[in-house]
Amino acid sequence: MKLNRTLTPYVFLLPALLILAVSSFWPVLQAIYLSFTDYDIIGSPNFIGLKNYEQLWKDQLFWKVLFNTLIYMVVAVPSLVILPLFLAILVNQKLRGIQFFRAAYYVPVIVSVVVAGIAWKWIYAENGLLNYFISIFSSVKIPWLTNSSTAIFAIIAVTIWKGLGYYMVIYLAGLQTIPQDLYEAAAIDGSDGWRKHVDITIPLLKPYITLVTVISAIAAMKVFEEVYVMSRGGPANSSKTIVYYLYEKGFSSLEMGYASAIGVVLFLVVFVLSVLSVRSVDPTGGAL
Amino acid sequence: MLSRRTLIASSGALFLLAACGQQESPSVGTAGTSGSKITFWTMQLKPTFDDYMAGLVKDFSKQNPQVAVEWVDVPWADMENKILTSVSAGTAPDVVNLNPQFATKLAEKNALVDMQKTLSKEQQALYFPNIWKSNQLGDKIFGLPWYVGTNITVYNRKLFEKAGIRQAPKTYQELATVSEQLKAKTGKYAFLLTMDGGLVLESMVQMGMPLLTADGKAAFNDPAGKAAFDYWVNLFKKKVIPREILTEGHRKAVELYQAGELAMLLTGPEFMQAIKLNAPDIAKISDVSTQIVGPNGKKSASAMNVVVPSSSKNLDNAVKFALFLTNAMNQLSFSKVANQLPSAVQAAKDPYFAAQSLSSDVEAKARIISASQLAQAEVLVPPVKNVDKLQKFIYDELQQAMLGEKTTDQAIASAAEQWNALA
Repeated sequence: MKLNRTLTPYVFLLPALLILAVSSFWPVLQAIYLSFTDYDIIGSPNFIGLKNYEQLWKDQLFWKVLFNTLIYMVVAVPSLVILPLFLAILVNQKLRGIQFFRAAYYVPVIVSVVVAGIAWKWIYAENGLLNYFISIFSSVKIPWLTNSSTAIFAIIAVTIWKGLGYYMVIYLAGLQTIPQDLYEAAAIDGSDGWRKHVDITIPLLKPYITLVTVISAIAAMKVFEEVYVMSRGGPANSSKTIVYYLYEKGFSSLEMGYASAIGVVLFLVVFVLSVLSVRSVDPTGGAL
Repeated sequence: MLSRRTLIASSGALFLLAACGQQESPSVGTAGTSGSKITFWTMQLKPTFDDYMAGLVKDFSKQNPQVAVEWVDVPWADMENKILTSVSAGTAPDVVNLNPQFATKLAEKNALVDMQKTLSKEQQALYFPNIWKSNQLGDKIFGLPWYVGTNITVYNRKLFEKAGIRQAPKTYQELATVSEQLKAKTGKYAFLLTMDGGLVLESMVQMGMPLLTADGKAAFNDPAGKAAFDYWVNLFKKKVIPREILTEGHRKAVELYQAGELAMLLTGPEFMQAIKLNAPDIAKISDVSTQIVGPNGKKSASAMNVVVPSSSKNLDNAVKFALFLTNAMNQLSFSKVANQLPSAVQAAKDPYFAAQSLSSDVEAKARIISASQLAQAEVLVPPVKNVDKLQKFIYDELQQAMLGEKTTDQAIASAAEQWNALA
């Protein structure tokens, strides 16, 4: 009877675990194994020890794309943590028609990245909408996607625009768990207006902020589609990110072993970042 | 406990979700009755050539009733990934339509049948020798030539008139002058050659840049190579070519031409059909001219081929089908429907091509010009091992020179160094 009780949850978990094992854990283990081989998709993999990692260490382009990815993260993550919080607080008001705004902010999330990327490419074009608005005030045309110092930021802006609604919904769920009487009590103590959010909302939303930080940081590390659609990593590799480089190595150059090594490094970086983010909020390392 | 209604509703929702997530199935046509089956993949021929392919498959099956042919059309952009993954998964088709650059990657890994060994001398002689060689890697021939084309210059007469240009440029030197004149007089760009394919590299070879030495080392770091680099860097810095050269593909050039934003399109004659369909007003004011060349007069040919993966379980029938597809008769009928040129010698001799010269239609004119260039045209970037990396090194460095991040000398030396480290 006792054994049955212990086993029951695992029996329920079994189907999900099986799917995870086949679709996630097994490919991860395969990738780790392939990172020590010279696998080229067509031939069979030969074990080459740490050669891929040595090559990675010396590969200047790898460091450049890693740096680009870090820029992506440093700019995108704070924006995706802070801006959706403001939006969530705004759309959490009990106003007429607020549902419309909630839906409107969520629309970019459901638009396919490819469609959004193509639309933004038109907006960013030399004779596009953005330069048209700028031309009202100045004669300068900014080559958003074709200048090595602006391309990555132009793409980050699209990621932020597209992610706002998603993270807003997470915060909105969090906001609705905060009891109203806390705000009332705070109001009596003189905490009102935006001040009440600093005193009550933000501390109580901490687990949600951590969640958003982790999810958006992982998403930023894995960014691919926007880059693929909007700039193909150019000009001169200035917007190439680590996953785009991995894709290029694996599927264009057929260096699957090398691409797997890049994947393993990416996994380690994401893993360390996730642990750090969780620890920074909950030093005991407990669950959110 | 879940109610029955909830269960039914959730299964319905799941079914809907699954249906939404279902992948688009490939376009398939099958003919033949029993016995063995071969699968044949083409590159973006559907739906325009459905009737042609159906007829071809039917004719083949009539002659070979024991062989069933399954035709699958794959979009251009997906082909490279699809063929590579299918070869690695051991599920490769029996016959595939590729181009030499795509096929080189598979040939490097010995994944394709060597046609030199498989076909008799007579069978090999059916094709133009210069086009036959475009499928050569080392001492192997990895595919059969199919349809070929040479690029021409399509131009917008109205924009030329507005800029006071009387005739289309014939050389890269003239092209640079025309580009400046057009930008100054009309504010429009003259042309856009993109770096998603080999066009910019081919132009540099046409300008006289040597690619590799006999032992496979970089030969392009010489005065001719530097001049070719400088040509593109100068056009970019003078702002007479669109900055999109850095990030966009050939499709963008076609879009801009169709929108009247570009005065010239350096492309194959088959694009005249698309322009006519998508931008009839621009097609009406378009004319065509010969391919732009450099001082050496070299013209570039682009070739499509048909390869047989060596993993095919039906090698004999696969080769038989590849030969059938590329024989003179079938190539001639394909040329007629596709506005392309045949690689089979007999097909090119057909009076059909001479009769075209009587037509005043721009499409026909494009075809005649393209056909007339075929004899002097060659594949300018020959299939060598890692040719895609060579192109990438050169493009990456050229872009840095264009953006002013490196001088031409530094860029070309760096590209040579990267290639030599690999070679």
